[in-house]
Amino acid sequence: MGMDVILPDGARISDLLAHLEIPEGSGYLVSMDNRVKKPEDILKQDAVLHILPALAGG
Amino acid sequence: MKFININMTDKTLRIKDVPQAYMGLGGRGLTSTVINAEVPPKCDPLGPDNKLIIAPGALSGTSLVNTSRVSIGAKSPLTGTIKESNAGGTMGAALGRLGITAIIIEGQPTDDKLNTLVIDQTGTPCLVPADELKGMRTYAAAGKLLNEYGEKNSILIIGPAGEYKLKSASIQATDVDNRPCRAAGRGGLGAVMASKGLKAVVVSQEGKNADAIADPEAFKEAAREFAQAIKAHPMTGQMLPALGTAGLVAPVNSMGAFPSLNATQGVMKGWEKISGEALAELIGKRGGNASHQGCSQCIVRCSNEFVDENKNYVTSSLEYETIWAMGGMTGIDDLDIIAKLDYLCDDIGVDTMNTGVGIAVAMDAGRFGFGDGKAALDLVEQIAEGTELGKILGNGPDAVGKHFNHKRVPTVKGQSIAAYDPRGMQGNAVTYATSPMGADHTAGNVIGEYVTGALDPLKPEGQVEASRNTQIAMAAVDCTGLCLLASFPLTTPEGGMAFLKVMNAKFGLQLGPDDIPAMGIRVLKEELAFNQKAGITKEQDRLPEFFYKEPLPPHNKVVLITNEEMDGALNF
Repeated sequence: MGMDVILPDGARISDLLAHLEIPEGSGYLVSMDNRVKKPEDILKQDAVLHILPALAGG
Repeated sequence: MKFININMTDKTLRIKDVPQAYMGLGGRGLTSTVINAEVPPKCDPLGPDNKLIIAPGALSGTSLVNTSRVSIGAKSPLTGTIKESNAGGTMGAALGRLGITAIIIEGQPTDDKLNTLVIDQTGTPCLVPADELKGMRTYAAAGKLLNEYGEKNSILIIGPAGEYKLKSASIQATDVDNRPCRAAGRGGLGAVMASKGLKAVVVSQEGKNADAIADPEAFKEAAREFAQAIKAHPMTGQMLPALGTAGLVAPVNSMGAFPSLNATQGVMKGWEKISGEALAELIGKRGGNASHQGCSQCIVRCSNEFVDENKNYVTSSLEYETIWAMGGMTGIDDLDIIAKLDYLCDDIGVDTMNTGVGIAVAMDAGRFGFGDGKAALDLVEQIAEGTELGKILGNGPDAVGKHFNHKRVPTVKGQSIAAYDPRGMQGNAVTYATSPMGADHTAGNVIGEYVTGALDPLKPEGQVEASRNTQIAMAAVDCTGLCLLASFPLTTPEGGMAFLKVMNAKFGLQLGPDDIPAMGIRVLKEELAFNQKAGITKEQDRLPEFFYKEPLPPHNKVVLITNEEMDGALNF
């Protein structure tokens, strides 16, 4: 499962979402190293990311 | 607006106007207010002085979508506290359409015979002997009742676990397909129902006597706006219909807060196999229904129908909390086994969460290996058989821990935590510890703050306030009959305003935004007052010691909220 994504150094979470054509405000969250990240956070080299539905409740 | 009072000691039934003190209340607000006023706080929960109260929400029975929750309240045999557990399905709407504000069941029969309470389409109640249903599981017993009274009835029913008066016994509610697969699962209310000599409640869905609406035109317009807000919200319009609550498996694991192997890990190895995505794919491949309508007037459709390889029905609805308790906590990563465990719990009438966590405690104690699905299925069957081990499991994780002399038991006031580890989501630590209900995610789940990035789940700062605000909001929502999972649009300007207009049009009021939290605070105060009189102290508003001592991988945090902070959470 999963895919490799190559982005320039210093790229942010928002750049990743744009690269994957996921619009902002579409209700998805990105976690990196088991932490929820904000759009302005910078991506880490070789990080494992999850892009997930931002579900709550249950 | 009427109460149906039933005294099971002498089998008398009375229909009366709603007393002035309870006017305007619904759902949890009504059950908790009546219990605080009328139930002796130190009474035996399974004795004659306890009362079982069944109340639809204040908006149930109207045309507003997603308002078919029914609240069931009593003093809990599991927690020793006040308890409200609400269920979806068809009962909330059915009672609302009959103009029934509450059914209050009190007293205790002197014999061990069972009864069914039947309420027809005119709202007339009667008690019918039900000894032929004794020992029957819920699916078979509900089917028998529907054959007898007709399919346009809604049913609340207990199974063998309730009849054994076990502390995790649920009250099952029928869904739109007449299956008893919805549950007021928490707090052992099925045992309270059994203690009243009541096997089932059958209520006509054909009532045409709903309470009047003060401004019908304004209500209709506001209800339309609220339905639009539900459809427009990403959660209720897209994600829940696609994945159901099981969609939470991925984000909570990705945040390292999915309590696994009896809360020793925060990420379950192989969680992808039991995720919402895997569930939807499997159901779709087999020809089941991954976006099923389970409850009256539901437009979210977060339910599912799980089928086996031959397309035969297994269970509905396989929910996140059950997948966690029966999967994450036990290490069982097979959706087919988890679905069977869910069905068994519904059929036997026992809380899936307390039961899954109880199995996990037994596994952690070395009685079975983690991941042993066959052992788990056998153990749950033993609840119905009434074996010694089955009764221990049916009495919840505390009973299991005591039996095996095992200390790692993730409960508060006897009730298991939910699928959010308090070390990985510190705000939920506050909710578990301080909710008047014992550990209960529906009382104030802070996860919404974390998935939006509004709050860091691992730092103590801001958690008490977040838990308090969510507990207040949930207490208010639980008064209305609105499903928790349809309540997300309340946080948007359009949805929040539409809901206020709905309330004002229904009751002829001029409520403002501050009045909704005020309603929640009023309910919590009633509940806390009862608990205090029942002898519940602040020292019981604590998590088990291991949550403060054993760091949870991968973040290796313990609960960081101090006792003083816990004590201030609901200090109104």
